[in-house]
Amino acid sequence: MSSDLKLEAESRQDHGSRSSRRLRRDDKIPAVVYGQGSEPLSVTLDRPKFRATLNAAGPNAVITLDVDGSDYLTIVKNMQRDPIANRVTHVDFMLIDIDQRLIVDVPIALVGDAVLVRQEGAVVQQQMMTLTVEAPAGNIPQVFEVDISEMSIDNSIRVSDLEMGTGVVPQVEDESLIAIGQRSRAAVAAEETGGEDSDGLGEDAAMGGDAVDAGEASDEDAGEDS
Amino acid sequence: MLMPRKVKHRKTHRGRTKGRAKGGTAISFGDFGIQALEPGWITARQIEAARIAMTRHVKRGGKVWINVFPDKPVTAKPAETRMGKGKGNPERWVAVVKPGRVMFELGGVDADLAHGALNRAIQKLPIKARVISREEAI
Repeated sequence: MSSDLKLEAESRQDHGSRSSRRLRRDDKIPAVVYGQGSEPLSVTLDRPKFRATLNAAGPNAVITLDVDGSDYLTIVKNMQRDPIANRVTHVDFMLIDIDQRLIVDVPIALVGDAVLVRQEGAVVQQQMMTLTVEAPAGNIPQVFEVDISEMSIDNSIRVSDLEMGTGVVPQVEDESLIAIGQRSRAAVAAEETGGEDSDGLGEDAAMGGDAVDAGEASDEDAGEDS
Repeated sequence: MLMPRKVKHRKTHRGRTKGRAKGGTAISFGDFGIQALEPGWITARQIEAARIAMTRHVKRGGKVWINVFPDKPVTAKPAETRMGKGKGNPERWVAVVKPGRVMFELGGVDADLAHGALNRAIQKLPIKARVISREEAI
């Protein structure tokens, strides 16, 4: 069985960084196809065609790879990127069976305007960017869209609020948070002090990064800056 | 300003800044970020100045993440001092940044406002940097 999405590829014999660099210079992408107990197959992709295919179908699309006339049913397992040039440098394709159940990361997109959250002086904070799900290869959701127009500070979005397709099982707890409405420290401080300006200098080391609310700046900031 | 609470060694060697960032090259928390395009030392004052520039432009709403921490002490000798007599005193703290590193992130604001805020923050940094967004290009 094959998917509607077809992508042409050429098999390649040359391996290593030098030949890969030459390919990238010619606007091609080195790639590898593996899985289902078969020997890994090195292939070359045309960058514009690959980009068009993935932009149209999403990162978890089932792709029929046409390698020198032979069809392989695959999914993109991994992509290496150059963070500065912001382009894909290598792609891993995994061979699949269309009836096989796969574990994939599906992006979560927030749609709509959270009016209630904004009215309370808060911002929507997306805690989970992708959701790991187990799904049949033929029915992998490309994106989970969540409407946040009804969302409020007390009413956060959880995994249980998502509409899963047939046979799609999330790999995290149903109560896991996707998005919350969080009041900025500046807004809370302003309320506590009766509307006085706050510099929003508090720091929160949660999740690895130092998070600071973008509150209203005060004259103290300028003093520290000099 | 950001600085370590406690350090094992008060003074360190300057070191070499070769190659590209090995991690922290993608946006993790917000929707937009500032990515370094050159290697360099970012001082605690510059980090603070960039943060203030961002928060002032955004005014209310939005959230800023600072992904770099100035944990490297830089020493300096006092003015009009003869050479010798040992290494100078710790003067400031810097974060070592390599090309590709996402230094700041911003979320909860629209694209125009975010670009304005992040471009103002870039002006406070001693290296070339650019604004990136979560949407990835292939």
